Amino acid sequence: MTMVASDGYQSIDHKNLYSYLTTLPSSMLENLYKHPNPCLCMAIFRDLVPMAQKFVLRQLFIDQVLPKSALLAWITPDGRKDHDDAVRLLIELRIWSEAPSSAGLMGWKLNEHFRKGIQAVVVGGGPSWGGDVTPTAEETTPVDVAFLEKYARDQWEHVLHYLAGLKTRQTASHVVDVLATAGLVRGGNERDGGITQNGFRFLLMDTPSQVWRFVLSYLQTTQKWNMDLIECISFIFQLSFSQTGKHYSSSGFSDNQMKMLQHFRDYGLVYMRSGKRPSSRFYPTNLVMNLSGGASSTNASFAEGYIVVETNYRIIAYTDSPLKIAVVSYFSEMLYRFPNLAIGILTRESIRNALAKGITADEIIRFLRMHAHPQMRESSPILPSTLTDQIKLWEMERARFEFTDGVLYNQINSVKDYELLRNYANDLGVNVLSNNDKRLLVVTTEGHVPVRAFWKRQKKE
Amino acid sequence: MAMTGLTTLGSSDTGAAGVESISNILVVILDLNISWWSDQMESGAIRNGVSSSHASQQYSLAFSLDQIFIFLNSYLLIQPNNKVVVLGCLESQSYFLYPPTGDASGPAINDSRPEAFRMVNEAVLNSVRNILTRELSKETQNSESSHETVFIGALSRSLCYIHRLQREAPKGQLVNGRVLVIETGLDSSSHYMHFINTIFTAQKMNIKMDACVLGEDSVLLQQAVDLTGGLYVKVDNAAGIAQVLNTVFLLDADERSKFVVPERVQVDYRAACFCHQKLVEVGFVCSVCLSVFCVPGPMCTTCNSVFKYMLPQKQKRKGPLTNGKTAEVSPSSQPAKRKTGETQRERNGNS
Repeated sequence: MTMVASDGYQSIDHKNLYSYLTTLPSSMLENLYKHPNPCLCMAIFRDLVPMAQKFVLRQLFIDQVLPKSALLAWITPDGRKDHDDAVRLLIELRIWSEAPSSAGLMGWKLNEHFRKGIQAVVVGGGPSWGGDVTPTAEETTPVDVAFLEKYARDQWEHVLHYLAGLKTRQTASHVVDVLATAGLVRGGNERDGGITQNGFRFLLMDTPSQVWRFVLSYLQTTQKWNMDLIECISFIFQLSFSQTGKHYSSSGFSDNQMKMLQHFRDYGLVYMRSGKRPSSRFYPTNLVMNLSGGASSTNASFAEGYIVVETNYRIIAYTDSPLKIAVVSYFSEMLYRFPNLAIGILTRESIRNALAKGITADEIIRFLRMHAHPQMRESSPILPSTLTDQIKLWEMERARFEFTDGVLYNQINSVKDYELLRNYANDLGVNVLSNNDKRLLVVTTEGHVPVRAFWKRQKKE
Repeated sequence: MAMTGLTTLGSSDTGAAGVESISNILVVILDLNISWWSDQMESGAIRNGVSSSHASQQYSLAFSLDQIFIFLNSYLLIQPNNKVVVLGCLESQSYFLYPPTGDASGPAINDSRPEAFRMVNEAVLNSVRNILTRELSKETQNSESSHETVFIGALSRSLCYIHRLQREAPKGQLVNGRVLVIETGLDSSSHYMHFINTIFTAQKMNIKMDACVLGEDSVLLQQAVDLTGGLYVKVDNAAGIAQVLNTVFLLDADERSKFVVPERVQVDYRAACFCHQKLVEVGFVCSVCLSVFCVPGPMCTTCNSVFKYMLPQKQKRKGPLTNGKTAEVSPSSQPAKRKTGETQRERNGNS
């Protein structure tokens, strides 16, 4: 299942690993697969569409080129579209390359390094890469999972606080850098750039999606800091495949890795005990583990629900967190504030304000559903349908115009010429608008070249 | 315009409101029939002694387990919210291999498998080892053992497990269950009734049952697969278990329409008779409870209805049936021999 949420985030770059990797030069991809740590291959594999995954797994132990005809024989007519998508994806990621098979037919060859990586993951036998787990006996005060979760949530909220413009603590400069790279805050020299359109949308996403996008822009930022990209990527995915509640030793880490570890501590991706002397132990949190499944694994285990929405458009947020109230107030009009709850109302104005900021109706509805109070979740549908429909209608009324670029043909002298031209444009499917009385015709910009050529040929005859 | 807009709004909303995330659970039932595996080992050893070819048709447990681990790991690799449960099944007992019930710790080896995968593999391996050593020490006392494995225990446990996960899942999370049986030995028809009832339960729960058969074709599993809409594959090559498993049984329900999958086999719908637990082609069927018998008796052993055998001349009179308490099994001239498959289908329709 591809996440519904991924749609329409084009402006927040790189919604998944795949779209990020395809921006890299191909030699870089080859180096990624060559990396001795197979976790990268594993992360890329998990990000593939299901059909591409099955292709790779079927080919995993067959040391031959897979003829294209054989591949097609695997697929029923129903699966043809998925097949085309899967093949395109595998080629773009350079997992497959075209090669002649032993019988001389053209076929697909699996990247040897990628094959080795996946084999190592599935079969085992290679060197360990999970990091050494030190025996628990050494630990004086064990860290429990609940604590780690709370720590991760607090740290992550701190990042969001900065984004939402609520300054509670000093924010590390690298956090600001990453947010600016992601285009969530206005970058530049002045630090107080403020939140951008994408920033608003980012705040409405669920936490795993947020972390995922944040980490991808972190990777982009590391290049500015002259860190080795491959080392960074592999380190992140190594962390993401670790076990929650366990601790790992950072002894033997390179300088870059130590630096990243310190950064991740600020984001709440890992926990390290703060003490007088730097501890070599660290605990990966659930935030970093969610990365292992790619962007599609945003299992919407409802974040702790605090929002009650009523059919009368009243919205009650049982929270005292200024961040949560700030986010809710992006699309609602706040009425009252109490120690443990805030009450707002959804109005046409407030929703239109949010829409003007670039937030979509689906994002608002998803946000409300995701953070619905446990009692709301008992009912089905979770949100009153009057409300969701109304929010969508408010969005639709902003989109009454559709803009299409085009080229106008007018002052056509004869009806015959006009009809000839119009029919040709219709056949090409480029006719945007035609008016028979005034004999004018608008074709799309792509359609302009063939239509003009046609017209010139026509005139000669 | 607005009206059409509204209808699309409504439908899209109800579609998305119910299910927020899907997690898949695959229950693998592994046939650990001791006598079958040891027979395989012995004959394999003999053959390997004669011709040194490694690719013999014989299976060795360790090698087959390794191949099954490849399959399990591939399944776990596909999606992070895929979960596996492995059950082992002996002649008369079933055990949870993963998640382990008892102490399944063994030597921890660190290698290139991710920790989560390694945990599954090690737990299964260690539990199998523990169970087999325990059973083999018992085995010496009574050397009487059969190739037959009884699956009902493992099957119903796996259905219960899936059911529990589905019930405990947080609202909005859908748990898809699937059962894969890897069978080695022979069918045991001794619990046919329970077996087929379990299958109907699976059918009701909308759980597909797949079967991968290493030994002889299994009639019972073919029936199970056919009734639940799963896939049935008989493995011919001992070295290719992993490839078969990875090719066929990784596909989830909605992918099976997109891939070419092994064709449905012609299913032999023979039922086992209730009196001697034999698989019968043509049998006698109680008209009240549809129990199957291989020989006609005076009354139904299941529902205690007394069969009234009517003579041919009485047939003309058409005596009134006293509501269900006495039922005619058959006029003796025309024995109520019915293809038991039909009964099966009737039962299927009733359930």
